[in-house]
Amino acid sequence: MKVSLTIVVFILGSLCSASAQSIAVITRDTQPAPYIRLKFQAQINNEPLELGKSYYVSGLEDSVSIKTLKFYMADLTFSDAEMALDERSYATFLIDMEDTVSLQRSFRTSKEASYNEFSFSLGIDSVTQNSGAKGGELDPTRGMYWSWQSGYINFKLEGTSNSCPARNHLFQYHIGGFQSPYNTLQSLVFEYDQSSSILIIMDCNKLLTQKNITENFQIMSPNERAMNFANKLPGIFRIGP
Amino acid sequence: MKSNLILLLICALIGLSFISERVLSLVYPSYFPSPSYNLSQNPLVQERIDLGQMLFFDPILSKDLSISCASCHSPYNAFAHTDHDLSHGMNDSIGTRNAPALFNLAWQETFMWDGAINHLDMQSLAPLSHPSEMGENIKDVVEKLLNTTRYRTAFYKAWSDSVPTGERFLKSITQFQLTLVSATAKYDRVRAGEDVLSPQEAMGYGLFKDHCSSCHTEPLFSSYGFANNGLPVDSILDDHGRYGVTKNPEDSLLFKIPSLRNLSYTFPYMHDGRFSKLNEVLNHYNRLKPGMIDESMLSRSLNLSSKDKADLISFLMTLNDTAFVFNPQNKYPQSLQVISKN
Repeated sequence: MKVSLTIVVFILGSLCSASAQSIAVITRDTQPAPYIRLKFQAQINNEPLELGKSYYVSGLEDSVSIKTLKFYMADLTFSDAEMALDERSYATFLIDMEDTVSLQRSFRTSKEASYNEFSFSLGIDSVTQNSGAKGGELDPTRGMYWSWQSGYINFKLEGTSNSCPARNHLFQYHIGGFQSPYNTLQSLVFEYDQSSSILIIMDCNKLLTQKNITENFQIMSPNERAMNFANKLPGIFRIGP
Repeated sequence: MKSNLILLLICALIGLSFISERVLSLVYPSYFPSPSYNLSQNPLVQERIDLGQMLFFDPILSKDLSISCASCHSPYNAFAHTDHDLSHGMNDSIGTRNAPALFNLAWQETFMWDGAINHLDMQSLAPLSHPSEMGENIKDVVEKLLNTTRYRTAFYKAWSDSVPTGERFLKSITQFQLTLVSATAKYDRVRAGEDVLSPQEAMGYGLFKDHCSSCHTEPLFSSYGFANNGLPVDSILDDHGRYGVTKNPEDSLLFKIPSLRNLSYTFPYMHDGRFSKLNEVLNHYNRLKPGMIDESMLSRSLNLSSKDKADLISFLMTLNDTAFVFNPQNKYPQSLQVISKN
């Protein structure tokens, strides 16, 4: 009896949510909302990065191949206070070079774009870090959560280079930590003309330094080296043409 | 369109009332503090507790299907690993710390002997991923569960969706662990006015309040803070406790204060299981002199006589919660037994 009631409620519930969706679609079609689109592109030697491809990096005098590059972006904000974004924009997004869909993010806005500055955080804030299991892009199955010590990995970069003395020449930077004095959360601020389509370029060469590849090739816990690495991260981002 | 909206509203109301009907409350005595765990973020639902219990007892969580949570956290040992000083894992691996007893977890804010874990939901990731314990990762576990019919059914019952996710997996295990409330020892009956301490137990209670209660705070019998209890460092394990997490020299040799409930079921004692008898623990504290550890913990020597120690232990025995330890609801679940016969 109880089971059948459950089924009835679920069927009713799903029918209703389906009809609610169709209402929303009709509204959207008649009055398309303005939007802002963010597109992320990683670059190496000033060309778009292909994961797994070998690139000669002149600063290293060696070739480098990157196999993983992903990070969390959160709390997108534009300087135009009247331009409200849909609620989703305050959520957290996993930007993963392996998942091309994750590189393009569109946000509906309440009016046409008019702003000269925008910002977002790189990483997960301490309130989220302290509030237990999360789903979606924050689900620990996404490979961005430490198991031995609580905390999200804010930024992950892995690859190989013969100059790297690690096993299999693998360098890995798992940059995280939210508790003082090792809070690696970064805030990025960009100046920009009021376009609704924004290209954000990440310059990998800035991270592939001699020191990182030959000395600090493994950073995988919240510590001084993670802090130094995190502090350099805002500098790899710039707005593209 | 308007009728659609009304129908939606009615359905939403039915749905809401149905879910709230299913939400259980955490049962604990009035003299317990409010739980630290935010139950509104993970409301207790019987089907989720049941799923958590299945997962807790199922070796499917380990890489080679050999180790379950219950392997080191047995219900009959108050969810500790009696007689084993250090935790065991896959391929006869032995870890570096004593598997702690699991109960009253809703009142704890940090987990592990060094507090490396900041939330009960995230705790199970640590043993799950440790190479000397389960050697697995959560992505693969979720994949294994997705390929197991009984889990698709159980996830559907619990979460209205047969697809397991990391979040639902972790929250289900949390729910089972939240229900492990130990509050039915003789001490609790005394608090409820249903029983009285014997003269010896009462003497022991006095000694406890004098010497132990600042760290092992009533009624949970731990403040669940961190302390240096003066144990010399084991030269092989070289474990400096909380320092390993915070890298702050002031945290060196601080370990999480365990509860004194259920001591008869949870030996051996201390973070590395070095003492197998309560008497050895008391002898250790009795040997400490002021200045050897933080003065806020030990401002004067304990100077316990043999009689004092016997009295103190007789009081500690009133914290054994037999009803909790032998609660049939907490044992290996029927849902797994039925499956293993097939």
